[in-house]
Amino acid sequence: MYKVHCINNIAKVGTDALGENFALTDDVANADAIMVRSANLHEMSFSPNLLAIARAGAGVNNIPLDRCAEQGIVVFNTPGANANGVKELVIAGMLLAARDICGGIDWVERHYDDPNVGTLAEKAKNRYAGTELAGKTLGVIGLGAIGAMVANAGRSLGMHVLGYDPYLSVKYAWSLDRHVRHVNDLKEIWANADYITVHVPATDATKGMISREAIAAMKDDVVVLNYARDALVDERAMAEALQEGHVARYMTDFANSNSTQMPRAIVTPHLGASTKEAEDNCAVMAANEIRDYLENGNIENSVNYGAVNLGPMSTSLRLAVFHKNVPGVIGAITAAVSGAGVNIENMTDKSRGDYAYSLLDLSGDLDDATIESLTSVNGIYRVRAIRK
Amino acid sequence: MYKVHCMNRISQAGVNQLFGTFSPAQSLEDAEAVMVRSANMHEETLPDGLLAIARAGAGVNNIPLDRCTEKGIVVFNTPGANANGVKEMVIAGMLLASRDIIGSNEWVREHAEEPDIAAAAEKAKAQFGGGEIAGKTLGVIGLGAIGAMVANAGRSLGMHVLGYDPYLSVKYAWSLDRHVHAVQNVGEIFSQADFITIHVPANDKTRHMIGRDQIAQMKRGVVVLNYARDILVDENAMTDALAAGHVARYVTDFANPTTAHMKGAIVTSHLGASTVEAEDNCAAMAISELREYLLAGNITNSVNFGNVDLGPIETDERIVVLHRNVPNMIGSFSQILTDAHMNIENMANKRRGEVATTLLETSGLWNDSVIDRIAALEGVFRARMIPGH
Repeated sequence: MYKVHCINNIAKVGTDALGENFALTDDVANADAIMVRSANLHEMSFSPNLLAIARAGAGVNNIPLDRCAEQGIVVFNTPGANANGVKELVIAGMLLAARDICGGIDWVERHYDDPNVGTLAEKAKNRYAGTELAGKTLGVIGLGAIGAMVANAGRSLGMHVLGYDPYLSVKYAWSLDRHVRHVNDLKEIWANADYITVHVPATDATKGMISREAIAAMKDDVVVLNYARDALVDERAMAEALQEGHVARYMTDFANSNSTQMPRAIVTPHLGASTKEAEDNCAVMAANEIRDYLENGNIENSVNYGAVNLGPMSTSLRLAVFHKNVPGVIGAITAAVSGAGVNIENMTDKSRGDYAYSLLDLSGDLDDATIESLTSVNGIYRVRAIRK
Repeated sequence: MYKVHCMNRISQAGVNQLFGTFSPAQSLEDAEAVMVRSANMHEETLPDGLLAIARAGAGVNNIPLDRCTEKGIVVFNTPGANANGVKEMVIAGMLLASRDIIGSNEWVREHAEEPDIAAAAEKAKAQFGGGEIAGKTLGVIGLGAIGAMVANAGRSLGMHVLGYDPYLSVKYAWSLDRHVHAVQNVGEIFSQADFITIHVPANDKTRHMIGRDQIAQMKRGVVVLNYARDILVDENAMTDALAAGHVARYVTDFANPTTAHMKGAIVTSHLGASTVEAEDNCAAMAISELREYLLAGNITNSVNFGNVDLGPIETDERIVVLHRNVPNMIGSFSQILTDAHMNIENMANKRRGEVATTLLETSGLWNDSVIDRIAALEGVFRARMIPGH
């Protein structure tokens, strides 16, 4: 029976998805796995029992990834589980930017006690009029789970859609509406799009990618939407572009001391994934990741180890080895196994940066001494024996 | 060149199109056709030379229809020209009802000066969270130009869609996503839908169609959207249902003292058609309706006479007759033409309620007296000859 400790409140559909081999525990020291949402784990020390941490959500800034990797703790996240929630907020953002619906609602709220509110509304409404999305050009930067859904939604609302993603995966390429036009240069998006939305992770390479130069290259009256990360946009340049009227609207889900002072920005308090469905999807996905890893050693959507999948257990022993991505380690593993007179039925190894993970299906059992000796090999962080 | 008077300002694109074909009239008195948006024409004197009024928009409450009919003035509107504009508002309405985006944006504005607003936002945001529309059931009542677009948009956003329209036309049936499920009984929509949106005209039959009994059949937590006409909804019943929490949100484009006071209503100031595109489309459609009628006698989208279309004029002249729908009118026309030794090459006749439209294409030597004789018949409002090209 595996034990799971939930640090934040995890949706019940998620903990239910763990299945019959799992129980919840209040004692973190005793847990095989942790489920977490946004709680900060940087100051936490992890017990030697701990095998996995699953973050129900996308961002993993709250988890010490390298420390976990070196302890052989696999950290998972749930990319795409909140994609529809974010997509719907992006659509709402475009519609609120196109017509001043917020202003129209405000106006009615201010005049709610006027007996002639209906007639007055007919006179006032021109101030809140605007344009439609259909027929406009939408530029989507980053075609992952969210970007691909946004691009398809744009198409189905009658927009022309340009997509940019130098790392486009087969999975998302396949999911894209075939009328989404793939561009190889961001300049094409700056020059052509009426609406520009960013859906890339925040890394050193993407930080400030909506720069002063990029904004200057955009069309007048462009609408820029940021439901990804605030660091992607040079906020000072954006504030000036809004002030000058070059950018018509900046729609962002990141309230901070810059964005709240911008004229014609519509700022929401990080609501992108704040739906019941997104929370449920994240919890179920996190539970499935933990379950497949603890029961079968398979890794999917880890942020510190590579993805490895040997399917369900097919032999009586499956050996999982976490190691430094250096020469000689795989040789040491195979030598130890064959030294014990056991055959390797299946084996897969995947590296990710400095860390690597090997998974081996073995024809017979290994004794504790052999496993112990492997653990002491230089460069091996952890060895896990999973028995049927 | 026909003279057209604009009662409201129309867009520059519209002006350019209009006065490529027509010339501006000095005043209403002088006009053969009128373009109007929302100006009230009930108190206006309609000149005898006025042939047509085109309303750039859908509602024609501002036009004295009966008086126009009696004088043989064809009134047009532009259904569907604003359909995409309204559709986009309905989508926005569903999204604003699902998550409290408006409230959250107000929260940010109220806390704009807070030094660590990002951290405060993370704590505050739970109160604005909500649901998604994907996977929910949308009920669309009325599948005309707007309803059909809304139904398709619901499908493409991942919703289950139920559609109800006992008068569904082939044109819109054809345009519908095949996964829109047609229900025969509107009660199925009330009992199953998470979102209900109405897109039907306001008339005696549809007044208060969302009443106390209908609301009682709806699921608890339902969202009701009304971007059609305020009188379709019994607003007192809606106020009670919102207060009781039975209806989660009433999203409406009609501000009045009742809706403005409803708790849980999201009220906009009649913005459904307030887009540049909708205005351009309405103007372009109104102009093309006037052009077809004045230059060829063809009628599409009239609200007081039947629609007829014989295509471009192929003979030397075409006769347009607007008349009462009484027996032997067509027999009388044909007798008059026979007496004048003229043959009928093509004919179209369409009734609409008490009145009818007849188009006649003739051959043989034209004789001006036939128009006078037809116009003098009892029951004829107007007869007009349009020369072929």
